[in-house]
Amino acid sequence: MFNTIKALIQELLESVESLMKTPSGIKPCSNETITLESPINQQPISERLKMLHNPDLLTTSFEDAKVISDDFCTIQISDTLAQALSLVTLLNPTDLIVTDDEGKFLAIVSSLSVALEFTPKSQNVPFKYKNKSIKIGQIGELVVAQGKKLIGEVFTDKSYCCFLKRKQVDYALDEFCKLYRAPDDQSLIPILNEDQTIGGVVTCKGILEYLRNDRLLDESKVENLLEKMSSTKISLEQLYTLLPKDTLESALYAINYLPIEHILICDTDKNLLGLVNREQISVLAHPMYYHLMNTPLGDIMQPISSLHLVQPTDNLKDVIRKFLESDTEVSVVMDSFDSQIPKMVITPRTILQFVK
Amino acid sequence: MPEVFFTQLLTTPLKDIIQGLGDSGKVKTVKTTDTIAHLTGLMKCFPIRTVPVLDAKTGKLVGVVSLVDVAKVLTPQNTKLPIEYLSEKGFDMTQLSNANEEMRLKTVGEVFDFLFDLELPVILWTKTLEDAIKQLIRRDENNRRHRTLVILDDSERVVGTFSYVDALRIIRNGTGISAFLGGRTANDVLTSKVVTHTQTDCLQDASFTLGGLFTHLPITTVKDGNTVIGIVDDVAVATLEHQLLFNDLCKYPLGKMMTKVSQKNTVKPDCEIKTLIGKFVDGYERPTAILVGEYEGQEFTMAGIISYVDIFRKLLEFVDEMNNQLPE
Repeated sequence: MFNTIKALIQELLESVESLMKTPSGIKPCSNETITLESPINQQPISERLKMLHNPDLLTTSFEDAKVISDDFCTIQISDTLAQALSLVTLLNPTDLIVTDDEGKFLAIVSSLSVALEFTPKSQNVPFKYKNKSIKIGQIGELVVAQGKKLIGEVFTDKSYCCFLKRKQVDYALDEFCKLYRAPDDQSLIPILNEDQTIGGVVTCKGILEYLRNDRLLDESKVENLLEKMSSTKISLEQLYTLLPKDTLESALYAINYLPIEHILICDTDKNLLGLVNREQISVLAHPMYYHLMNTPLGDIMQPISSLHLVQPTDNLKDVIRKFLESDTEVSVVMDSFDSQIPKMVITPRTILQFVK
Repeated sequence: MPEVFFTQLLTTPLKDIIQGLGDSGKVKTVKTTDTIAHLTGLMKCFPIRTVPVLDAKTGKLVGVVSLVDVAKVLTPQNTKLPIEYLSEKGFDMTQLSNANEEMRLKTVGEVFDFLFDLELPVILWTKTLEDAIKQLIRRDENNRRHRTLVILDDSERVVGTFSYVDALRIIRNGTGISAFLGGRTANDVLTSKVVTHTQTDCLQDASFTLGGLFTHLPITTVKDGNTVIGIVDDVAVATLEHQLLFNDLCKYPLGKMMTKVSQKNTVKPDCEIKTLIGKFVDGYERPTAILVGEYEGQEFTMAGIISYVDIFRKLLEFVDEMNNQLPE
């Protein structure tokens, strides 16, 4: 009896040890252990899973979790930039998946990077800054020439994250929750069939939808998220502010050199007035519209009235509902109920970082 | 307009070759009092790699800031930052925010004053194309080779810039040098003795090797091997060589920061010079050196490397030979 218990304890210790030491390559899935390619930087699984009340949610495969969406756009490497722009303009996807002529996955290009190949849409240029000296014909020639370029000519080679259907949800969570996000990081993860063709995609919002009913998210308040973020420095998407009189030039610098996606526009007393994001800033940085660089951010910001503001005491599930049931991509947490001072910016990704 | 032979063009003043020199707004400059945010915005928007700096009071040229200079001073842009590697090292990214935010409102004069004592890469607009090409080849007293020259008029006003890309485009369209453009190949121009590094060598190795002498390092799979998988250039090294990051990035493997070999930065040895020039000037990324070799499947075996300087040198030799062969 004693020996049996001793053997069991030994086995348990070994298995715990192996879980603690194993590079991220090994993950439990139901009763089997599978060796996989691995996201880096993983904590031991026992640590990782204790945040959720139902940890099994993360060890379920993409297929069983039904998080694979067929709502995505593909384009072939031999297609032109003009074709990519049509998709971006008509369907407004966040990313386009690039395949070879046989439909096999090759790359991902963001809609923003496609848009940046062209002049800004005229509706993005504030009326009073529209340059009357620019002739439509002049821009037209440029747009047509640019549109003829092939996707393969314009975008550089890099590695992309993609998974097979049988991999676990945890893998996508790791990718979306990377501590620091680069601007060209993927907003979706292709899920591939065995023959490397696209079986679907997993998105940040898709994973959030899947996890939203866990008690952790159901019962937490925004202040719990704030607490975790400030104690673990888990996200840099905290607070970067500029004044309304600061120009687009300063915003462009900040977006290019600081790990941020949003800039809050506040007055000198730190009261929130509005917000500008990477896309708004980047699309206006075009040689033909260089005069816009002196535009005060107060003239192009999304005003406070259009922003989703939340209080630390609000329920996190209400913020999640807002993300999942509307076009809202960002919420601004205010310092307190009666304060106009912002404390943090939350995106669906921030909530996944909270889960992790 | 009558067709001008390239040999004649070589002896023609720049002001008669480059259209619109001195037109207002054509040349992009910054003043010493402009902010770093203004400078980087200008370089990002157009996009340009070299910006003349004018004294805010006198309007005179005091310096020239290149992309490499900017890379040396600022921390890497978000897209160039090895975020995952730094996270693994436990680097606190908020340091970057503080350093960059501090830099945002500093002036060009404050940040780049060290450049203002160096020899200026200038050329008068009365100088010939040949003079300009020779100046792009030579190293200055500080051992710097400039990829762009600032053109001054008779009253030393900045009227334009002339880069190696401009020179290569003129050469590619040159009349009367088809024996050079179509008759010579990459094999005739390449440098075969090339210093290389392996993919597991690191940033500090590249930094030491480049040391002002080279601008490009082919990356091989094994030491002194000929199978090349990528290339690292001076801009990439300068970008990551920031004092805040160096302790964490000095061991960063070159295999992670290299540009992979592809059709965009390689040619075969029998590639004509005209096509070779296209690789330098037509592409989206405009590489400053091209690898020469053959692909065997996915593997690229390098025979040598070509920089724009190699093309300029061979061209001038070719023109000399041609002139010597002409009857008096």
